[in-house]
Amino acid sequence: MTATPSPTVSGTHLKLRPPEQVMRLSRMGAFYPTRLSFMRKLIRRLSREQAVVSRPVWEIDADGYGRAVYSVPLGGDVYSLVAFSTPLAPEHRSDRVIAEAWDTTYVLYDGVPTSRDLDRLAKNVPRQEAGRFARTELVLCRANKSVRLFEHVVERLSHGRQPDAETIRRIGYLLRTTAVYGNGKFGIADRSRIEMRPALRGAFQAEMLAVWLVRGFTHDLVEHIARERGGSHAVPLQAAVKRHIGVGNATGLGMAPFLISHPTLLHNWMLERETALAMVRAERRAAPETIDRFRTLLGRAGQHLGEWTTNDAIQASRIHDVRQELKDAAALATSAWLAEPFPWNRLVTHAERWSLECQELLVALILEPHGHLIDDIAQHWSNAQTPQIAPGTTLRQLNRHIAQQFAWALAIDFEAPEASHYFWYVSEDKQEPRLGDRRNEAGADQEMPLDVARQIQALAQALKTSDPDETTATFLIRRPDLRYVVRRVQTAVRHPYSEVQDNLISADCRPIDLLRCKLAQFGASKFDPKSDRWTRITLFQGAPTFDTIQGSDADDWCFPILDQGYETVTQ
Amino acid sequence: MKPSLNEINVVVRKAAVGVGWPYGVGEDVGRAAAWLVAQGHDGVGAAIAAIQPGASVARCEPKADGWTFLHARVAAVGLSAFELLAIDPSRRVVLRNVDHPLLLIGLAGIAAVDNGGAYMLTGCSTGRVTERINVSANHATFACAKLAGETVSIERSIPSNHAPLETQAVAVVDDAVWRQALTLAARKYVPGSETSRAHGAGAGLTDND
Repeated sequence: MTATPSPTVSGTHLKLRPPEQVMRLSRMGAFYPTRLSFMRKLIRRLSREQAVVSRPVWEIDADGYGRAVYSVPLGGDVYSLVAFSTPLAPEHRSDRVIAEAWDTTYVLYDGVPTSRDLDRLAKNVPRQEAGRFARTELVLCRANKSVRLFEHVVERLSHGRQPDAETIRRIGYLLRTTAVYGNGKFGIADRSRIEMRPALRGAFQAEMLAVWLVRGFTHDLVEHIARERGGSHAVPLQAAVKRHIGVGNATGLGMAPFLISHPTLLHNWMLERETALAMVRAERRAAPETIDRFRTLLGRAGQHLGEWTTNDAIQASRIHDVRQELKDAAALATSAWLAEPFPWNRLVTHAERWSLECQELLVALILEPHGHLIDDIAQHWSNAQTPQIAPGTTLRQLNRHIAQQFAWALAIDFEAPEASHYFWYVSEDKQEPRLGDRRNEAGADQEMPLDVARQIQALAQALKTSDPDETTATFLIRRPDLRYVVRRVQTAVRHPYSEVQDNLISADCRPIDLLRCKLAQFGASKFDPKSDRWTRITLFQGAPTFDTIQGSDADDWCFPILDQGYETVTQ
Repeated sequence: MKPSLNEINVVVRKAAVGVGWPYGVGEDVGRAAAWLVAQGHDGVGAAIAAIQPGASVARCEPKADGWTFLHARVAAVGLSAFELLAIDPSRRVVLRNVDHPLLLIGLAGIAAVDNGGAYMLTGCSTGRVTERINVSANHATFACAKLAGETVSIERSIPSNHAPLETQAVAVVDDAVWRQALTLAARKYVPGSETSRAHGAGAGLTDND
C-alpha cells in the first residue's frame, strides 16, 4: 500500500484525520491501546493457532531461584523463553537502565535450547548488556519484582487464600520489565533474520511474545514458591486473578528517540490506526450487536478507569476528567442514538469538545467491535522503508514540501531561549539517550539530531540562497551537512505521519508523550508516570494465560477489570 | 568479535559522527558497512579507514557524458554518485583517485537496495580497464577491490541473477578494528555529572515498591 493519507475502500474515499491533528505530542501522549496494538495481534495469532506452551525445563528451588524454559510453536517455528531467577539484595534493585543486577533475566531463543546452550546463556543472560549473545537469541530482557505484590501473593497462596482484590487492582503485576531488547542489540539476532517469518513479520512481535511468556513465568513462579512454603495448604491462583495479573514495565527516555529515528515505521503505525478509524467512521449503519458490544465496552472502560491509579498529578487529573466525560459519552451514545446513520463519525465529531484523553479513549472503543473490518488492514503492507533522498527533486519543489509539511516547524521562534531549552544526547554510562538543560549542563556540543524543527529552519535558510532549479543531488554534494534533514523532508512527502509536529527541544516538551504513543502501540495500559521522563505501565493485563489462550474469548481483553465475582472468592 | 548487522550499522554511524562527519553521511556509511559485512567483507575496517579526518565536501564537475568527482574521497562522495545516476541512468559518474574503494562498493550496495537496481563499477588505470564489479542489492563478487588510487566509473547496470547471499552470515569483525570503531563512537557520548544523574529518569526514587 502506498503511503497516501486518503486510501479508498470499496470505492469510498476515506477521510483520515490529518497529520497536523494526530502528530502532536499532546494527542500522542493521550493514546490508548487499540485492537491493532502489537500485543493484541500476537494474542490473536496465538489463539488462531491454538498455541500450546510447554515447559521443558523447570529447575527452580524452593525460594524461587534457578532457571526455566518455556517453548511455544508459532507460525511454523518454535520459540523458547529461557528464564533465570537470581537472588537480589534490595539495595541493588533498580529499574534504571544503569542497574547491573536484576531479580529475573531472560532471552527469547530461536528454537529449543540444548543443555549446552543453557549453560552458555546462564553465563551471559544474567549479565544482560555486559554479556554477549548469538543470533539464536531473538530478544533479551529482564524484570524486577514488584515487591509490593510479589510477597503478598506468595504469602496468600501459601496459606490457601487468594490475593487481596484491591491490591491486585492497584498494582496488577508481579514482575516489572525494565528493558526489552531486540534487533541485534548486544549480538542477538538482527530483525532482518526473522522479519519474513509469518509470526514475526509484524512490528515487535518477538518482543511481545517474550513478554507474554515472561508473564506466564511469573504466574508459575509465585505458585511454585507458595507450594514450597505452604505444602498441601497452598492453592494456585484463581483463574480470574491470574488473567488480571500482567507484566509491569518501567520505560524511560531510552525509548523516546525511537519514534524520531524510525519515521517510516511511525508513519505506518499511524496510518494503520487512522485508516481503521476512517473506515469505521465511514460505516453508514451499526448492527444492533455492534451497538450492544460498544455500550458494554463503554461500561467496562469506565470501570477500568476506576482501577487505574497513579500518583502523578497530571495523569490523575486527566483520569478524573475522562471518567466524567465517559459518563457524558455513555449518556449521549444510547442505542437509539447509535442506530442513526453514521454513528461512529457523529460520536468522534462530538467528542472533539472533550479532552484529548477522552477523544483517544473513544477512538479505541469505536475500533474495538470492528475487528472484522480492520484487523487485517496492514497485513499486506510492506515493511517500513529506509528513508531515502529523492535526488531529482528541485530545490523549488523542496521548498514547497517544507512549506506544506513543515509549516509547524517554520513557525517556531528559535530566538526565544525556551525554544531550545533542551538537548538530547547519549550518555557515556550506558549509551542511552538523555535530555539535558542546554544552559546548565555540559554536552550540548554532542547533541543528537532530534532538533528536527530547528534543522528544518536551517535548511529553509540555506535554500533561500540557492538556485531553485538546482537538483537535490547536486545541492547535497556541496551541503552534505543538510543530508539528514533533506532526507526527513522528502520522507515526509510520501509518509505524512512520519514526523512529530512539535519542537522536541522546547522547554515544554514532555518526553513522556513520546513514550505513551509508542507504548500504546505496544498495547500497554495503566500508564503511571513517575515524572515527565519515565512511566510505569502494565502489559498483557487481562490477556489470556497459557491455559486459556485456546479459549473462545481470547480476543476479548481490552480495558480489563478484575471480575466482581473475585471479591466473593477471596472473602 | 561477532556484532550483529544492526550493531555494525549503529556503531559505524556513531563513529563517523564522532569523527565529525554530518549525521546524514554517518547514516549512509553505517548502512554501507553493514551491507559489506553481510556480503562477507571487512565493512567496518573499510568504513573506519575511510572516515578518518580530512576534507568532507566533495568536488564534482559536470561533463558531457555525466559527472566527475575530482580527488574522490569516498566518504565525502557518499551516495551522491548514485543519486546523480538516479536522475539520469544513461550517464555515468567518474571518481578520480578513489581512496577507499571497498566502502564505495558498500555504498553501491545500499544504493542498489534502495532503488532495486544495480551498478557496474569499472576501474581504469592509464586508460586500461583493471577491474569490473557488478553490484546488486544482495550480491557483489570481487576478490579484492583493486581500485584504490585509480579512476572508477560508475554506471547503472542489470541486477545479477544470483540467489541472495545468506544475509544472516555471522559477522566477524577484527577486535582491534571494532575497538577503534567503539572509541570513535564514544566521542559523541556525554559523561555523567551530578546534575545529569539527579535529573535522570528514576533518579531519587525507590524501585523496591
